[in-house]
Amino acid sequence: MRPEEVASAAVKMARDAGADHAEVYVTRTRSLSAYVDDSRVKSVEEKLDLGLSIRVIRSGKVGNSSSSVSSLRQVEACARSALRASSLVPKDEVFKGFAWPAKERVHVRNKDPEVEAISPETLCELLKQLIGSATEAKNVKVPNGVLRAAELESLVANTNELMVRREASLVFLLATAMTGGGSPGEGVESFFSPYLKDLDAAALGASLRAKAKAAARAKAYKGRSTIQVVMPPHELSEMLQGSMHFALSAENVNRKRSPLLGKLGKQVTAPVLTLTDDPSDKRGMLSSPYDDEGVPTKRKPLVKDGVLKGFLYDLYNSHFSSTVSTGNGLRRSSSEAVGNYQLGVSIAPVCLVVKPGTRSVESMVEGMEAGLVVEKVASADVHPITGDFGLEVRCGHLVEKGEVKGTVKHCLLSGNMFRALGQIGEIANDATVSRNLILPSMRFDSFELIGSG
Amino acid sequence: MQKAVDRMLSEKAEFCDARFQSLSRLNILIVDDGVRSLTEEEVGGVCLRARHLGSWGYASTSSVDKGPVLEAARLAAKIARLGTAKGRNIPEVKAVHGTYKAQVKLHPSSVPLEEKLSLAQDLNKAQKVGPRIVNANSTYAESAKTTMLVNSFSTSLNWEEVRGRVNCMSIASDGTRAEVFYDLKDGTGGFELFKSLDVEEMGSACAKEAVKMLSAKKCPSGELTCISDPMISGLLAHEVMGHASEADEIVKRRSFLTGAVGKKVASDTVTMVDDGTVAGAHGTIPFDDEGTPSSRTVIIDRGEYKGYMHSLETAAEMGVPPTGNGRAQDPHRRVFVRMTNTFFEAGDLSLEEMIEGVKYGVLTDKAISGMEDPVGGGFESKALRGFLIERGEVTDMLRGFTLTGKALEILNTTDAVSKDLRLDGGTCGKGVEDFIPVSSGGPYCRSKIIIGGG
Repeated sequence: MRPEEVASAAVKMARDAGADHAEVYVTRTRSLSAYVDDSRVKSVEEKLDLGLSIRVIRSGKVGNSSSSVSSLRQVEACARSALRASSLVPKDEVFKGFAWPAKERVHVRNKDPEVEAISPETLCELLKQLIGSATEAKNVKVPNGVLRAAELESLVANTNELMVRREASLVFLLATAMTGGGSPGEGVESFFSPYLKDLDAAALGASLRAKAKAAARAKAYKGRSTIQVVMPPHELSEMLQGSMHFALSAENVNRKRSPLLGKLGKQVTAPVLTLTDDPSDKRGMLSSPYDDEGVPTKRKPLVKDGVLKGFLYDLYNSHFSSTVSTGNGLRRSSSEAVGNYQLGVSIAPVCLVVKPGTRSVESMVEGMEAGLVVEKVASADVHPITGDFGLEVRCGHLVEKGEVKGTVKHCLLSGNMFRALGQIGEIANDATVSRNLILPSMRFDSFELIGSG
Repeated sequence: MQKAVDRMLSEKAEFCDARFQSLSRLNILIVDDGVRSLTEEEVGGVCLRARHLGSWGYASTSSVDKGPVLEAARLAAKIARLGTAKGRNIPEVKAVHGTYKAQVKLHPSSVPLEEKLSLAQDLNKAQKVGPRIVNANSTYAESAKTTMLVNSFSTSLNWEEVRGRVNCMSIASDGTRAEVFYDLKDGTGGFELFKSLDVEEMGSACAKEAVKMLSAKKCPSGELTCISDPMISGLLAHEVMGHASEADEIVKRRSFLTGAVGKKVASDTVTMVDDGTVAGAHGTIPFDDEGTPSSRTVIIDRGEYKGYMHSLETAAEMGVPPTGNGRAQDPHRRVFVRMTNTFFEAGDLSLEEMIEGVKYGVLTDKAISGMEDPVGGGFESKALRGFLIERGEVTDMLRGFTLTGKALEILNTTDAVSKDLRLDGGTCGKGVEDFIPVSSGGPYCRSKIIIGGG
C-alpha cells in the first residue's frame, strides 16, 4: 500500500467512526544495515516497514493510536482504537486542533538518490573499506560496528485538508576499534549524514585506528584539578541534547521545569555562543520544510551572542502558551528510520546549529596553559533539570603549555552544564553533524577533574 | 512461517528461523492532573533469519502476507552470503513445540481501561503535596508480546510475555533551584502487579522526597567508602560485569573477562547471576528469541568467576549449551546475546549494621543512568541522590553524583553485603540501540568507589 492510500483511508475511517477532527502520520521505510563483528561483516539486514499513527478529537477529547500496517483492516482498527481512547479521557482544555495547510517557508530536500539505489553489496563494500583502513595497524581490530542507509517517506494528513509529505535519507555509522594485548584501548567513531557521498569509510577507519591506539596509551589519572577542557562534537552534542534541548522545549517551560524559564531576552550563556534551529540546512539529518504535525518549519534564532531569543513549540504547547507552533513537533530519529510512527510527537530542534569559531582545535590547544582535550567519555549525560554532570573520561589528552603531555582515563569530569555554557572560552571551526545538531568542539574554562588517590 | 523456513533452506541456508512478533501496548501519561496522552499501539512483523558459514542475513517486513514474507525469506538467505564472518555450524538442538500463555492473574486485556486511567490519575494527584511541587508526572504502561517461532531444527513455538509498569516523577522548586525524585513499580505479570499498590502513598512520598532534595548538599568527591543501594549495585552488575559476560564479547575477545573462568575476580562476599526465570521480574522470559528456554547462569560464585551468557551461536563457538540469552528488540531487530535479570545475591547483614561500620562515606539512593565498558571494565553510573555517612550515622542528604572506578577493583573492596535484595526493571540497549526489557539489582554493597559531580 502507498502511504497516501493509507493516510486517506485512515482520515476517512476516523471521521466515519465519529471523530470531529483527525490527524494521520504514516511512514514507509526501507532500511539496510550491515554489522561488523570482530573485523568481519557478520550480519546484513533489510527492513521494510509501513505504519501509521492516528490522533483524533471528539467533543474536545483527544485519543491516540498507532499500528504497523499490513492491510486496511489494521488501519480501521487503529482509527477505532484512537476513538476508544478519546472516549475515556476528560476534555482537553489545551489542545485546540490540528495544523492548517500552509506554504513552506524553507526549501530543503535531503533525499539522496544514491541511498535509494544502494544495494546490500555496496553497503558491505563500504564497511570492508572501513575495516581495512582501521586494521592497517598491527594489533588493531574492529570488534563492533553498524553502517546503515535508509530511505524514509512520511506523510501527515488531517481533516483540515492538509497533506504534506517528507522524503528523506539517512546514512549512519557507529563503530569501535580496539587494540589487543593486556591493556587494550578502544576508540569510537560515529557518522551522520543524509548523503552517501559524505561517507569516507577509509578516513573513518583511520580515525578509529588512531583513537584505539590513543586509548591504549591512556593511564589512570591520579589526583584532582580544575582545568580547561576541550569537548569534541559528538560528546558535546549529547551534552547539549541533555541540557539545551530540554531547556528550550516549550513543554518544559510550560511545566515549569526548564532551567531557562523566565530568562527570555536575558544573557544565558557566554556571548561567544549562538544557537539557531535551521531546518533549511542541507547537512541536517532531520531538516525539512514541515514538522511531523504538518506545520511549516522556519529558521529560528534560539540563543544569539549568549542572549536567549526563543523557545521551541509544537501545536499542543503553542496552544498552551497562546502562541503559534514553531514547527518543532517531531517524530524522527537521526539514526533509524524504521518504526518512527510509534514515536509520539515531542519537541526537538530540527537542526540545531552552533555558530562555529574561526580557529582549528589544534590552534585552540596551542594556546592552552593546562588542560584536557577529551576524546571519549563513557556517556555524556547531563541532568536536564539541574544541569549537573559527572562524566567518566575513557580517553583524554593532558595539555601543558600548548603541548600534549600524556593521555588519561578512569577519572571524572565534573561540572554543571548551564554554568559551563556561561564559561565557554572558545568555539572551534570543526563543525560536525552529530544527531540533529551541527556543532564544533568547544573549550570550557573551569571543569573539575577527579582521579583516584 | 514453515514455508518461509523451507524457502530459506531451499536457498542453501545452513540454519534459519522465522519469527513473527506482535506487540500490543498501552501508554498513559498524566501531567499536572491532565491526561497528556493515552495511546494504544498494535505493532507486528515477521523477521526471517538465515545463516551462511558464520554470517547472517536478516530480512523483515511489517506485512504478514504470504508473498512479501516468502520474498523476505529469499532475500535473507541471499544476503547472508554477503557476510565474511566465519563460524562453527550451530549444532542441532532438540526441537521444542507448544503454546505458552503468560502466567498472569489479571490479563491487562481483561481490565477496563478506565481502571488503568484512574490509577495513573490518582498517582498524579497524590503528588500535590504543596506549592513547591511545580510539576507532577505519572505513567501507566502495559505490553503484551506474542512470539511465534519456527526454525530449521523443527522447533515450532508460540508464547506470550506480559509486562506492566507505573511510574511517578515529581519536580520541586524553591524558585532558584529545582530537583527531581521518582518511584516506579514494574514486572512481568498482569494488572495484579498494581492491585495492592498504594498509589496515594507512592505519589505523596515521591513528591515529599523531591521537596527534601531542595536542601540537599553537594557530595564530597574522591575515592570514598560507598554503600551502593540495590539500583546502583544493579548497574554495576548489569553495565560492567553483565555486558562483559555476554559471550559474543568473549568470542571476539572484546571483554576484560575473556579467559576469566575459574579466576578470583571479587571478594568472597560477591555472587552474581543472570536469571531469566525469576518470577515476576521485568526481564523474565519463558524462551529467548531463538526458542531456547530461559535459565539461571551463575557468573560469579563467592568471588570466583564462573561463566558466560550464550545465544545459539556463541554456545556453538565455545562448545557449551545455550543459556537462553539470544534476544531481539522486535521483529525488525537482530538476535544477539543479551541479559535478562542480572543481579548480585544477598548477604546476611542489615543496612544499619553496614552503616555502623563506616567512619566517613556515602550511601546512594536510586540511579539515573549507567554505562557499559566491556573492554576496560570501567564502572560509571549516576546516582539520583545520596546520604553522607559520618561516624557510623547517616547525616546530610546529598544531591545527585557520579560513581566511577574499575569494576574489579571495586568488587575486590566489597566487604559487606546486605540481606535486602531488590530488582528494578528497565530497558537495555547494546551500543546505542536494540532495547529489550531487563531488570538489574542486588543488595546494598559496601565498597571503595570514586565519587564526584553534583
